[in-house]
Amino acid sequence: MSAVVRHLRFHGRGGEGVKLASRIVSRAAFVAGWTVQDSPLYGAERRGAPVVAFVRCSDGPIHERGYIEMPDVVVLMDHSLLAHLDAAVLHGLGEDSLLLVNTAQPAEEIKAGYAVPGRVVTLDVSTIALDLLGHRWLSAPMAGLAVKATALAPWPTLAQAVAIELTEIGLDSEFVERNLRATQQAFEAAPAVGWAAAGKAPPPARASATALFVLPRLPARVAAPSIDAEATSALRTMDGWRVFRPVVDLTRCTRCFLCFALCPEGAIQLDSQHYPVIDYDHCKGCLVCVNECPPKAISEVREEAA
Amino acid sequence: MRRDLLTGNAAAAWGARLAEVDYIPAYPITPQTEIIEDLAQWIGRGELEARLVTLDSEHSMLTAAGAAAATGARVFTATSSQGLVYGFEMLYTVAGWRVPLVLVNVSRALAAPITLEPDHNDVLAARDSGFLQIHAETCQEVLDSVLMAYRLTEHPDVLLPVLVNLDGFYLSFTREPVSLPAAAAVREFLPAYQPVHAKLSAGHAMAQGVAVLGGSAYAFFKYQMQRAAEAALAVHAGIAAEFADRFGRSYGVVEGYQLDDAEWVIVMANSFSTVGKAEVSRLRAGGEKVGLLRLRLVRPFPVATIVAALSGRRAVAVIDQNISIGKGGILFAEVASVLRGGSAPPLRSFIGGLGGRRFRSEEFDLMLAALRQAEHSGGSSEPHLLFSETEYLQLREMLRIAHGQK
Ligand code: SF4
Ligand code: SF4
Repeated sequence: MSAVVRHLRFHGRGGEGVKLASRIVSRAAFVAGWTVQDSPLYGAERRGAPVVAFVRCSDGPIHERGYIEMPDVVVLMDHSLLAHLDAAVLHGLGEDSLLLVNTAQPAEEIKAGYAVPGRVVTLDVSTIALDLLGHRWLSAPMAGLAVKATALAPWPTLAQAVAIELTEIGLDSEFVERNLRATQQAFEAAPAVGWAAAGKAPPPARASATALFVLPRLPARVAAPSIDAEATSALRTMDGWRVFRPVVDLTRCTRCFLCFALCPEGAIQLDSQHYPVIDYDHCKGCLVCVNECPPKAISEVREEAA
Repeated sequence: MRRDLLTGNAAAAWGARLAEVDYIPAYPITPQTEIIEDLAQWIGRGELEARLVTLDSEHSMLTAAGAAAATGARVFTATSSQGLVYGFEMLYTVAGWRVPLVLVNVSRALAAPITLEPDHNDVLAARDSGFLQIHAETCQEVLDSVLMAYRLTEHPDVLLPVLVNLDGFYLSFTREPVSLPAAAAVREFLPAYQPVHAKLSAGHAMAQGVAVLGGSAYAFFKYQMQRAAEAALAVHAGIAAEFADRFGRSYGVVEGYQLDDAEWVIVMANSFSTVGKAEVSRLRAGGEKVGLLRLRLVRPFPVATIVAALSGRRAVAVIDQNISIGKGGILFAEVASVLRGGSAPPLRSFIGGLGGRRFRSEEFDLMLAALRQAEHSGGSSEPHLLFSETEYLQLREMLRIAHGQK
């Protein structure tokens, strides 16, 4: 197996276009002549929940599947995930790996702030998307950042990949055009850093292997897949899921209770005067409340600025 | 021929499209639904001339599939996991009718607990039903196997339905380069179905699956299914040779990887075999003479081929991505049952990949170490349940939360 396999791992949240971004990158590599494999990993689909996707590019066959443990490149759609250890964004990164982050913060700040090994490139892709697409649609411009930074393919190849992937999911040509402009802007703004010199070789055989772990038998009280306590979900905060924060303007609120009734997370309570109070520890930022509020008393504030 | 990036699901749908199926009874379930969505879209755009009908359950879906096949239609359907076991009764029924059809199963572990990721307890539960089973490793193999499955199921010596299995997520949602054969070339390989038996029509009344009492008639019909399944081995060989001739890709009933001079052999099936092959290469680079045998045709079970491939090795590990609770690995038991006598190697059983659990590289080192021991200490059929201490500690942490301990 002398093939060099390059590994890209994408992290983001449900709804941010992680899977599509990975598919555009892999399509660009495919059109450029690489052998590729792409796959997403997610649970029961939920907006805001962490999602991962993988792209492998090789100059030969790919004898791998599933989770990428040791990525050459991590593409991060949403820098708020860095603070979430469960998302394991930095897992497997080394001194020669590359972290590409959508954020307005400078790369040095991210590198120092989160002790990131290896190189960091940042680009405010959200602002590009908001400017050119009118929405935080990140897939194509994030692919622009990834393809440029890794020098995986030239612009015309990437443009072809964007058009193929966006058309395949049924977007109209006008929207594809706008995405192409956003992608090009990200592509041009990103530095071409390139891969580390060599692809990651699999670890050698371990002669020191001793014994396989033997799983003990536990009593059914703990061995059954049941949740034996109330409100365990309250132990888990979701504040980091938000890209936008809903903020209520009480002067415009008519106390109609709609937001309270419709919040899918039960994150809105009513105070003694029946005004809504948002529990920001458990609000996942789906913005259902913003859309449903009849007098438009709830506004969305970008989380970094909140 | 053109090359495109396709998921395993899209490859399955392309198989049905190129087979020019007539009828597609459908019921959605993750991670299979994309297959039906693709087919529905093509029918909607006029690119595929077939009738797609959504049914009220997998039970009805399989009934409709069998009934349509009995009219001489070429039938395709797909399901996964809970859906397959929900339709379970009809697997036996339809197979007993001796009608040809192709059912794709996208493997997903069975509840409870509930998950979306794959293992093979779903498809292997159907192993005694009379459906033949092809287990695919790659997206390309999914497409090719669907085409080959139609030849197999429609062959007059066989006429048993065929189940093509692919892993959820690891193939279903994974895109790889896939060569799409030209429609004309497929038409030559797989001409329109000409039923020789079971051709229900308005002018030709028939009864399927009649009642028989007294045992001997029942036994006769079941034995005939066994004979047909046995015949399927030779039929498959012919189809595979023709497929290789026409399309340049050859598929055996099993696949050997670095097997010829291997002293130690790992037996696996489905998409995780890819990971097994990489581990074999890694161990080879370290000087270990390891090889892999991938089981592809699981029903009929290719006994002679497996005996020939495994006899005389120093030791063999079977990795099952399934568990028969109270016994262990299903494929281990099947492989062990055919290896007897002086040249039979010592065997070790490992369970891994349940619910999509990832294999760790060091586990292959440890399995090899266990094989070295097995060579000296001989037979053992106790399954080893692959799990790491790190995972165990993480699980304890989850359990702590589940029990409300802060
Ligand atoms: S409805 Fe509003 S408060 Fe509730 S989770 Fe969504 S954004 Fe947060
Ligand atoms: S939906 Fe709007 S108006 Fe109604 S209670 Fe909520 S914030 Fe107030």
